[in-house]
Amino acid sequence: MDVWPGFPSGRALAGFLSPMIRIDRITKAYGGVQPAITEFEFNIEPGSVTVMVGTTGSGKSTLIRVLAGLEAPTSGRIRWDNGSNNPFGIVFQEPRLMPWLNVRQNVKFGFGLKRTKESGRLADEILEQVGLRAFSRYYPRQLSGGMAQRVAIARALVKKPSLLLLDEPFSALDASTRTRLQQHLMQLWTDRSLTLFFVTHDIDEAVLLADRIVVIKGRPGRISHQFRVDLLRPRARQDKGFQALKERVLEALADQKSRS
Amino acid sequence: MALTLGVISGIIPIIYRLLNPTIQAIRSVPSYAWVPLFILWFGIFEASKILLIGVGAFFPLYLATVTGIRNVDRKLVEVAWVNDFRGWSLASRVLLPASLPGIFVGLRQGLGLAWMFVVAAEFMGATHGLGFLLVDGQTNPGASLVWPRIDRRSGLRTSEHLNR
Repeated sequence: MDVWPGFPSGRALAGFLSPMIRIDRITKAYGGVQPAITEFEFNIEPGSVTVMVGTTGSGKSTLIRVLAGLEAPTSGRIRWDNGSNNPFGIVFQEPRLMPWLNVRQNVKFGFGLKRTKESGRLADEILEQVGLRAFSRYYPRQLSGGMAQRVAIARALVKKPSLLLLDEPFSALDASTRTRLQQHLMQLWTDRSLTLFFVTHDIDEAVLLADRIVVIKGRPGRISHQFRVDLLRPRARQDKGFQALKERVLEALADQKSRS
Repeated sequence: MALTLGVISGIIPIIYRLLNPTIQAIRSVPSYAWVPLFILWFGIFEASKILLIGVGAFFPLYLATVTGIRNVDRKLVEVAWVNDFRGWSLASRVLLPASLPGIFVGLRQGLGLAWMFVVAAEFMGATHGLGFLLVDGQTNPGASLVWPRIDRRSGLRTSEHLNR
């Protein structure tokens, strides 16, 4: 396993010593056939941005679904160090907004059944943060792709989770919207002291956002490389360090193809 | 009743498996086959007619409700699931609203079939109504009596659809 030398950046350093989630030899097989992922083992540190990259079909989304509780692992376990009631939010590849609810109602949907008198105010607050307060009464069909995805992020964050899971959230967006939303996400990460676990197939995105990049390979997916990223934020794509790391991740992925 | 059964069958897979084959079997029985049985069981007065109309409206609404709920986008259900919606809260907050368009289609089809069954019901010893007049035209005999009734029936359906 190739670990890029250097300390994790910023807040991740503290978390490195006490992981928030321990993913302990997770394997997931659908219907008893060949597993989608096998023997996954790594930690997610509080305050860090962990980005998982891999080719299509390597099991990235499967892992996020297992983390979110949408799939039960075939073997292995996930240990939450702060107790099992630790709230998390999830953003999917598509916004998945309820078409019959307006923007504000969709955001409040994120509270589930635990609505309080404060819910409305908190929903307005997060809508303000994602720049959509003026669109509270709009319905999903009236929003652009980027706006809808921002509503999905707001819905995931409204109950103030400590962990945000993101499953290729910007992959369906155009390049400029994606860049804007990446900046927006990092602003929210700073403002809300979030831990991010991000799945993507976009290497640029991974290097831009991550404290740590986990590369998965083959079918069934296995972790092949991990890179710690100590580039300063905000990161520039033309920076030499950025390009060097990008090359290394690309090499790791190419290596993955030759092995799979 | 169709709505309630449809919702229950749509939400609870075991109920669907138990109930659906029987309902599908009953659905394939031609409406006229019920007429003698309903007359025997409920007499020739209003009860048997209302039940026959009810049978006609039941199946489209039941099927539309079950299909609507079972075809709700799994992605929306997953969003509800990760936000801790379960059981009744999941049904009322996601499954029912998402399947309403399908349910309304079923209601519309049910309404249309109910009209057809009204005519069928009026064949059962009625003294007035379109069905009665059709039988009257047939037995008396004369196509001139039958055609205006069919036209009136079509006219009713047309007016039903004009507002949509």
